[in-house]
Amino acid sequence: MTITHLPILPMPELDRWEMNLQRVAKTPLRCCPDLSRIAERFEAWWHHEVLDRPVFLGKANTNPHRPVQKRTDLLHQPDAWFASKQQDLAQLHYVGDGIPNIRVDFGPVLLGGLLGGRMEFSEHTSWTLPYIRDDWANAPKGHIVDEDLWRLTRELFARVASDAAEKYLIGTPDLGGSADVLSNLRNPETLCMDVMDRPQAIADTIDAIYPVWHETISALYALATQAGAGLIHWLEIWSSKPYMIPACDFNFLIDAASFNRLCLPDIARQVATIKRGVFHLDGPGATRHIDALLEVPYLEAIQFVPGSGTPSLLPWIPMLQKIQAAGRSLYLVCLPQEIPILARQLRPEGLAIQADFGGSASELDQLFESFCRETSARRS
Amino acid sequence: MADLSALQQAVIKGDRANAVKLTQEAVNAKVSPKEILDQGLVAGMAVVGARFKKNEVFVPEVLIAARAMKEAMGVLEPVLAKAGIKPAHTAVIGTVQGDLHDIGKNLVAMMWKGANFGVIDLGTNVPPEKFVEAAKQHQANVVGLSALLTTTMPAMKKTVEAIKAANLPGVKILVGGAPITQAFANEVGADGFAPDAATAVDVAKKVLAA
Repeated sequence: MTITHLPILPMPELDRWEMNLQRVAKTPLRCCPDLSRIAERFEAWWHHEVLDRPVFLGKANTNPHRPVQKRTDLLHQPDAWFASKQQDLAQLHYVGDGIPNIRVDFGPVLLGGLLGGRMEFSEHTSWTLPYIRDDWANAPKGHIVDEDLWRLTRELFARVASDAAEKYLIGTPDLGGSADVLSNLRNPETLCMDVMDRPQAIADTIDAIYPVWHETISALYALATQAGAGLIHWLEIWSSKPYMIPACDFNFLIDAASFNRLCLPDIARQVATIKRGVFHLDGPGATRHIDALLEVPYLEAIQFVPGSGTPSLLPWIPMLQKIQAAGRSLYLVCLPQEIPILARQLRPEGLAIQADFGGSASELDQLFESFCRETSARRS
Repeated sequence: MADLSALQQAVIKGDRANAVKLTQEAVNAKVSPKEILDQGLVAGMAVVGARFKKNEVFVPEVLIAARAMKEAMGVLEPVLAKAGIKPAHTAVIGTVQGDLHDIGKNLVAMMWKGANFGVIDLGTNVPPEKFVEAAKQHQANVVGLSALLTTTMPAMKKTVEAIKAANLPGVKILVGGAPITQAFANEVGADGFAPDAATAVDVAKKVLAA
């Protein structure tokens, strides 16, 4: 399959951001004294290799009386929001290669909000209200529309960044994938019909979202660099070079030809812009696109979640092995009981496991110890 | 001369202009409205449903086929009503309280309509009492409950309980959605579980025949 290569906007500051990340990686953080070793482990993972063991991430809430929540209700009160996030940080227990961080978290709707979609939040999810009309005349035009939201985002980010240096990392908002942003702004069902009726309007609008994504991610890296802070994205993967997490949950609704024509070129363009990416592959319906994704240059890894109805990863082991065989790394969110099986069945090189864990800190410690025993026994 | 196989093909292709034109031609030619419905529109949607089940077509193709059928029904419905022909079954459907996702629910509603069910769509974030009220009001044979979030599965359980407590004779409850499993359907006491929209017609017919 040939991927259509779209024109790329340059990121002239990439080298400067990388220098900052490499400097941060060499300095112990107050909340993470082992950062340099963790960073080395992740860099090996990015290169489809393994250091002493596969990457392992886990965190547990040490205060059962105070759940850790997004608190999107406080986003417009930066002081209260930041105080709440600091409390979260204090009560979260990280193990393995988990790195304490405070994330500016709007859910995956920020880009849609910046493009003028009204953001809505509930306890468990967030969404933007569709506004693109049937004639597409009011579709995004390649610039940020909601300047107030953009100001708020940068304010919250800068606020965390100024405190984070030498203590913890700052987490970026999930920018989502361009097709997903468009799906929300148009309505997923209507966009499905547009796939048949108006494919060029979809391609043009995805093209118009790209500069806004570019501006947003560039500004976040620049703010973190300016404050001397380290930065990670929503999967909490460290990288000593700038990276991104492309996604396209819309892909489970459409066939391979439509995905390859309408969505893949933009995914490839985003990753080629920043030169390192890990794709968020969500659910069984998305797996039919894996072969196309494995051909995307700079896409070094795949994060796979088997879907909310089928939380077991075990039926997917052949596909996961195929991803590794294609020279890509894996990031898997695993049920605790499946971790030993996956660690046995998959190559340790380029393997990262995040424990899907709701237990206590001591139980998480035990899980991690057992993972270390298992993987070191296998290596020896 | 009315061509019901061409009408069937128009639905399969999602060619709404032709679906409307061919339906009108069949009506003008005095073909029985039941025949137009069963051998043209429903037969076309059945092919689309079967292809969807086999992953030969995907959601966009199903949606445009359903749109073609809906527009053709605009021509056929007055004729059906005049002839006193009613849908084979009546279904009430909605996404349970706390859940705003609707694409899966909409696909099931389309599949049911395509199989000649009368469908009352209650939308998303529907409280249990609204399902009960609608099932009573429309004398439903089937109530379909959808959920996408694991966090709204308890609301599905509550809704099943409320419908059962209302003691509506002959009403069968079907559940579905990404996090729903047969085990969960059994646990909450649903009559049927549709793992995806493509199987929802078969499951509904099966529980209604039981």
